[in-house]
Amino acid sequence: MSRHLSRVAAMLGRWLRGPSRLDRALDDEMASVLDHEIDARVAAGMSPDEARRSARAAFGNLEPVKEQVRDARTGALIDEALRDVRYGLRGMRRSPGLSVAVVASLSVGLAVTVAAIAFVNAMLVGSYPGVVDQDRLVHLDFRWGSRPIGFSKNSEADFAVLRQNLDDVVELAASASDEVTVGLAEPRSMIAGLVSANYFDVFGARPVVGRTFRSEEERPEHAAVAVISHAVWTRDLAGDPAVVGRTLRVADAVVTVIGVAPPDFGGTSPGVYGIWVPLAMASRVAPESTSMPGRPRGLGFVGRLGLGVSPEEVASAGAATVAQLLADGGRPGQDTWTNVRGVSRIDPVQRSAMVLAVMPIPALVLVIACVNASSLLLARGARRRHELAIRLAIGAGRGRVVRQLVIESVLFALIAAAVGTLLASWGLQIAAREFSIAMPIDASVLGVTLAVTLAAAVASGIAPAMRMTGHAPFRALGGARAGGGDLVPAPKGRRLVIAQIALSIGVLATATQLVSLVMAQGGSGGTPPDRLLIAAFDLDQLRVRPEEATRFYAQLVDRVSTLPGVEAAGLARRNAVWTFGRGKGPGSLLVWQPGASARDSEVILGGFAGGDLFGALGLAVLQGRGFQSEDRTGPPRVAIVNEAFARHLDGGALGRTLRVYGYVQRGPLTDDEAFAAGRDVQVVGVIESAGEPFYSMDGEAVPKIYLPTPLQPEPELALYLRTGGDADTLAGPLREVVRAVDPRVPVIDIGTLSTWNERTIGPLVWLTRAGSLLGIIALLLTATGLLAVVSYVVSLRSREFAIRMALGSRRAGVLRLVLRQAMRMVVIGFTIGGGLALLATTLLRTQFRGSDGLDIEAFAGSTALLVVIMLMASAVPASRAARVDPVAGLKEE
Amino acid sequence: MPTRKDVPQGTLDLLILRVLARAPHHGWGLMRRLSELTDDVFQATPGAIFPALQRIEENGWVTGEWGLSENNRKARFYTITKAGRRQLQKEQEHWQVITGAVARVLEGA
Repeated sequence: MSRHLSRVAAMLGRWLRGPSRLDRALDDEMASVLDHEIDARVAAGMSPDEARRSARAAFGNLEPVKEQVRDARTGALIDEALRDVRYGLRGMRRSPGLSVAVVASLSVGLAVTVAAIAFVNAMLVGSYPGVVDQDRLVHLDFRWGSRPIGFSKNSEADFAVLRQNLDDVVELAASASDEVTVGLAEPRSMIAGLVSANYFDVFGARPVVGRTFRSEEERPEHAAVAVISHAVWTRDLAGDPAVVGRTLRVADAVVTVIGVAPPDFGGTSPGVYGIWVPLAMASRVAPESTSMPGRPRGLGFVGRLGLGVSPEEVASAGAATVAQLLADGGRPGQDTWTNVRGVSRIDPVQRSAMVLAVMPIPALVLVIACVNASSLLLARGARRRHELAIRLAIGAGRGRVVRQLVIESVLFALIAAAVGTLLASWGLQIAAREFSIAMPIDASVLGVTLAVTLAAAVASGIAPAMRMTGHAPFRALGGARAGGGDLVPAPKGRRLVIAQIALSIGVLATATQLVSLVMAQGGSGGTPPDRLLIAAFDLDQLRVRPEEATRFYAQLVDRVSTLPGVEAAGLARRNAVWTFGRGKGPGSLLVWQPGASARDSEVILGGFAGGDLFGALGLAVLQGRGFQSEDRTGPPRVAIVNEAFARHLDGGALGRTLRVYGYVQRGPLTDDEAFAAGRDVQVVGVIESAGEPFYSMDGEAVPKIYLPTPLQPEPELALYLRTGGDADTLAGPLREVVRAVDPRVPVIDIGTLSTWNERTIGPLVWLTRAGSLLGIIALLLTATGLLAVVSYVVSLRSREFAIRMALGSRRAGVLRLVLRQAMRMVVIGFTIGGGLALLATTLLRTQFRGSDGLDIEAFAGSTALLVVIMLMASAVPASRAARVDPVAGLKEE
Repeated sequence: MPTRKDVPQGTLDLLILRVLARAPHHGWGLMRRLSELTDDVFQATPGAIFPALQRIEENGWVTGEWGLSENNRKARFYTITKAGRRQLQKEQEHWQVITGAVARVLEGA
């Protein structure tokens, strides 16, 4: 043990005193040894000169001995490495241009990689904003038979029992939600969370201002309090620091604000809620819906696991409690089902899909960056061939020199990693806003980054290092400037550049194709998306009678149609045309085909189509006619279906009779009862189908059926406006019209079809656009690589060019020569890359339906970009070649 | 001639420590002494001795100090330490064991 301590002490002592001192001492000692040997020989009778000569001959060169002594020192490797680092830094200063290029190249590659790693890391963890210790949270589902507990009249009572009985294993909270109208500057509709008092505590969310609910606020007499969201606080209440204590009108009730939630907090639905009130307030702020009477409010349960408690323990305790609950409540006999699962933003299946989708392009960019750096290092190495040759000649092992060169690469890579991380953090901030998930560069991300950096360093450094220490350097010692031969980075260097070109064109072309593929996933109809304005209303919140609602909508359509710029206006439910990811719901119809039995009903979307809906949507009538004014009175007798529906009806749809009934109306009725209560309607027209590939299976359009008058009360409708110009400009005038018709009515949501599409497939579009940007970055990286390689070749062959021009070749000829060689590389790379892109795109098209074919424009665009950039990159060194003065070139030797 | 490669590292340490146990030597003197003692069988070259000395010194078995040699030249003298004497003892015992075993095989096989 003491021996090892002694060695470590010796090493530290050496570092403190400075190795150069020891090296001088070593030199002295070797000199002393030689002197003694000489003395001995002189003493044995030789002449001083002879003694000196024979002593030197006997001992040989003492330099290797010094090396061996240095190697025998503890920590010799570290000393060497440090020396290599100092040497590398000096080298960087000597060729600053190339060094900057290498660092820049690697920085870009690493920035992209770090960002991708942090992105994936954040997505995998999927932490919700404002939530603490998310891994101790669980979702709980309790079912009795097929009915979930929490969706019955006894929900709140059941919850109380569950919470109490499970108290020792899990802290249980309940929440429900509903749309409410809040009296702010103008009546605003927002989603309210109706929650148990411990809701915020379970999530660990700390209020920014004020406090969250207390347990006594679960009692109706104390429940007139509310916590508002951060967004509402900053946007609508101007971030008023004295907001606590202010009163707000929510539907018919008045509540006192007691606190503000953390930014973006929304339990497991961030960005959704505007306000929270205790469950006890539910009946006052969000009464039963008139369109769905008798439908109980759904309570969801979330809980925080106790210390050391596993989800399984909670599940079994839960099952026991539920069984007891049912028995006590006289609902025995049915089997119960309990599910407890972790709170996670991305479900496990999507996780692997996401990683697979996100990682390839950044990885490719990193590869391109490394290849680029490799070419640059090779070009730089060529200038150092003399120095390297000498080092190898005096006995430095090849391994030693390679090690030193690789350490230089590592230096470059570490600097690049620092720069890259800075760039990445900036990009991640933008992404975090887009996806509303925090994307920090935490320890694990940095760890992976470091590993990747080192791998990249070795990868980009080792090939040039091996090449530079091969046979070639010795040739250089001869003094002849290689006019071709091994030192020209060809074919290896050329192959590297071709590979880069292929990869970057592949990435860019694929990414641009992807963008247009994804854009085609959005909702579309005849009207261009930016000329269709959609505004949603919900009169249910105001608890108006059906006749009032009908009157409101009729007036709305009439007045809006007179606004300048409006070409057509129609009414339908929000999901009657495009579902935007929301599936069947209220407004869907039960449809029986001709001759179908009562049991064979289908649930079809669509419903009431008021005003000139089809005109507004730009959906042409393919067969038959549209709705006419005589259809608009009384209950519906006719219907119009879309092409998708018509297609799956044998023998066509026009003229056939269908039976329809409201899906939600059906409720507790049996099939026969519903069938008996249904209405027969005759199909008088078939219209084009609206497209929404992202949300439909196999890219097929969704079948729809429309009626001229409502089958059931429809207080929740959306207005569809077709405009002559940009639809956004009509948002303001529309609001004024609404205010004029009825100032109590809030506009729930308003935006063009483009806006709605962006919201639903927005993040996906963002990702693909980011991919395109990466493609352009890759292209620029490649261009710098090409520039370096061509410059290098030109510098090597300057003598050759000088000779050519002296022999009569014109400058233009030389220029053409260089350009031709460069373009040959570009063409080969382009062909390979184009093939790769084609392959990738074809694969992608199987995943994303709905696009018509290869986006030739995008492909041509990226090709043109590539060619232009490569031409510029080669032109610079080429023109330099053409300007070589023949006489000076020949004199250079 | 046997060179460093023929002498295992442990044996070289043993020889150096043994010589230095008698009296401190400087580098060249140590080389000379080893050659003398072994009748030139082991030709201690600088390439063999000095890396070994570096290691031995780092292990704390000898200390080195600059002084004046008998030729009035600057030289670095190596003196064995207590730890070094202990190591010498260990190496000597180890050597006895090895040579004993080898002898037994040669005689008995």
